[in-house]
Amino acid sequence: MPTYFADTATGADPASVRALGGKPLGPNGDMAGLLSVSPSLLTTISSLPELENPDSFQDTDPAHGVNAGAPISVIRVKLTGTVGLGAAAQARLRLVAQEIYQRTGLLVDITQGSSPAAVTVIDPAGKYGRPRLALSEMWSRMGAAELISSAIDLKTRLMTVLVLLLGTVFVASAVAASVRRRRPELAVLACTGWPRRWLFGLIATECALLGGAAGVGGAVLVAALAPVTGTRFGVGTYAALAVSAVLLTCVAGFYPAMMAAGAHPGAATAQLPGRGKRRRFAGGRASGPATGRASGPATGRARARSVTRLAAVNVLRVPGRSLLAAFGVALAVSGLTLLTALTLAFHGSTSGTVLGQAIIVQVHAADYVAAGACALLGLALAGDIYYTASSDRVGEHALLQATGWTPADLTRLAAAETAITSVTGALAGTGLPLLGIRAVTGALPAGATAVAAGIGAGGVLFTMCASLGPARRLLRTAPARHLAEG
Amino acid sequence: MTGTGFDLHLRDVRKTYLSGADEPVIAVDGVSLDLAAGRILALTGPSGSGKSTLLHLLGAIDAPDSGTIQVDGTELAGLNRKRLAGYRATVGFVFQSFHLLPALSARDNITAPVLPRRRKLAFDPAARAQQLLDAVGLGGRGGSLPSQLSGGQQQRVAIARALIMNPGLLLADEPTGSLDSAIGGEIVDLLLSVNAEYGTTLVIATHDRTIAERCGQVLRMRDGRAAGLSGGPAGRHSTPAGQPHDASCHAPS
Repeated sequence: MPTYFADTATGADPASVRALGGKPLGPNGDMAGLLSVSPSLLTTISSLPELENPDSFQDTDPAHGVNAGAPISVIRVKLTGTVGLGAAAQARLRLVAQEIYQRTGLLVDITQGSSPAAVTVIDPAGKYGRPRLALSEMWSRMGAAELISSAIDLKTRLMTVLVLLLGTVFVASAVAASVRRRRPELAVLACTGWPRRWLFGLIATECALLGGAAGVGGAVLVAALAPVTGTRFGVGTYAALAVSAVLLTCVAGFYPAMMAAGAHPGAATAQLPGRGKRRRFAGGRASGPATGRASGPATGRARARSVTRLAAVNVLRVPGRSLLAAFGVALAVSGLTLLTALTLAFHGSTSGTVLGQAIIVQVHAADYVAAGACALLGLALAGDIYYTASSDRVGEHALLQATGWTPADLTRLAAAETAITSVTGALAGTGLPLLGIRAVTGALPAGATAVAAGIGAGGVLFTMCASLGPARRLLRTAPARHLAEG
Repeated sequence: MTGTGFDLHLRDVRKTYLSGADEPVIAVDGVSLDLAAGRILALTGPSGSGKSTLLHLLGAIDAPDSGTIQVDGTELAGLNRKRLAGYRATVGFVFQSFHLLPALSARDNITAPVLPRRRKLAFDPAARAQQLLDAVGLGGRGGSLPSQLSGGQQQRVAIARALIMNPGLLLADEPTGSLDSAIGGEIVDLLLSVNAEYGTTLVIATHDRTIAERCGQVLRMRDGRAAGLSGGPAGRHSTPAGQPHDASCHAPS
């Protein structure tokens, strides 16, 4: 109940503070006259009968300065418990206000989410020597909570956007992996005279069909779940859902389709990625005897002197893919970290310190559902990338096995590669939300760091399991199968 | 180098694959073979005759369905995964398409097999890699990526990689298949010199009759079977008295 405390006007600049002797300005001297008066009586609704009894009051005549016609200027009613800011809370407020009006005929002014906000008021110099004063007064900012709530509710929209973004990136990653695997097939088509736009169209059409199927499937799922959740959608909504799925899939497939359009006919005779991917098409034949002369050795290149260093080399050789995996982990943990930190900072719906005081931040269950979806999608994205990377490099792993690496050695290599990217992503995904909360509230809520560390560790652990599973599955195949020559 | 090659004894080895239509394809059909340590054997035959599969079985990168393979007194079927990996480390494998790791330099490709156990090695892997690079004529190319090397140079790096753990058995699967004849000849010279200098047992699968003739003993493969052994023994060790051949094959049982 911060507005029930006596408000003061203090000097807002050094000159005013000196002029006031370091003390607040007396209320009577306030020219703006906007400072609220502290309540004369605080009570509960159970004491109403006592208030209606004239015998309970003394000295209420005009001789004692009381306006007998209107002895009470303002009645402030505070609803018990946490009111909240949702539609149900606002309906409850309206009902209470309506009931007060109907029973008493008093004008009711709903003050929801007001928050004292510092305002500097300039009090000009007086005729009798009072200097010009700059006063800092706590004005009541109406609707501050709604304002904050609207801003905070951006997180709900943000979560939705994150889910869509992650879904798009996921599809893009999968389509790109598919295009990489089908490079020889696409190159054969290029050899047979397919122009670039046909190759582009092939992948784009596949994406559109995939998106259409996903959209229809999603619409059916929503239609099936709608009665359970008590919601109802029109046909237009379902159509929009299907069209959105097609559009998103096409957006996701644009870059991979461009990759496909650039298929080089020479790749038709080259090996699959991971088995000489970087080999030049004309480089398969020697042009002359090896002379042993150095011709531009890359002396500054990172050396793979250990399994960990080899893992780092492997991570750096595909920077885009590694960044995408880290991005997936970061997004997966950031949503949960943000919501958990918000909950800890504002205890679900209690006062904080944003824009003064008495703001209410609510974390809805839907936010956690969205954050959970984000986490699953992000981790699935990262896991898919690790699986694709393992599949692409299965020939290399088979080669290492053939030279004496044990499955445990290869698992260590895969674990180190995953750890490098997932820890990077987890640090970014937990650190940024915590920094954001700290920037807004001025301090990190108790336990937030530990909870964020737990979420980050969980993300890393989940990703490690997701990546090591496929890696170990690939190891169960005889190396010869991946090293067979043609 | 160990200076001693491995002897090989195969008995009635069979290997069957499932084709795409789930039709069983008999890749190796009851091959029995003995090869003395330090000898050279060429495997010849048309595509699909089982040469590469036999090499894979010898290198323990695939397992036979039946039969026994004994290398240097060790029965491969009885090895667990860790010991199998240990065995593979003592066998050098050279592939037709080199199989170099594209992100690693030539030097790092050579040391890649020993990375997990580098602390237990009796030699310095980097120094050994440089020594091998010098031996294969690429002393100044250690920092080059595979994509910066010609095909012949890449195969030399692959041979150097196969030698990093002083193998007792060197298996080469069409080592000149991706190279022109001149460079291919140099690669064969290099492989034969390894045998001559260190006594490493050498088995080469090849289509090239010229290369096969240089190996001395030739095992012809057809439809997964050993169709016949020809030629005299070749290799570092001379034929022991009273033994006309150091290699022998037996009719499938």
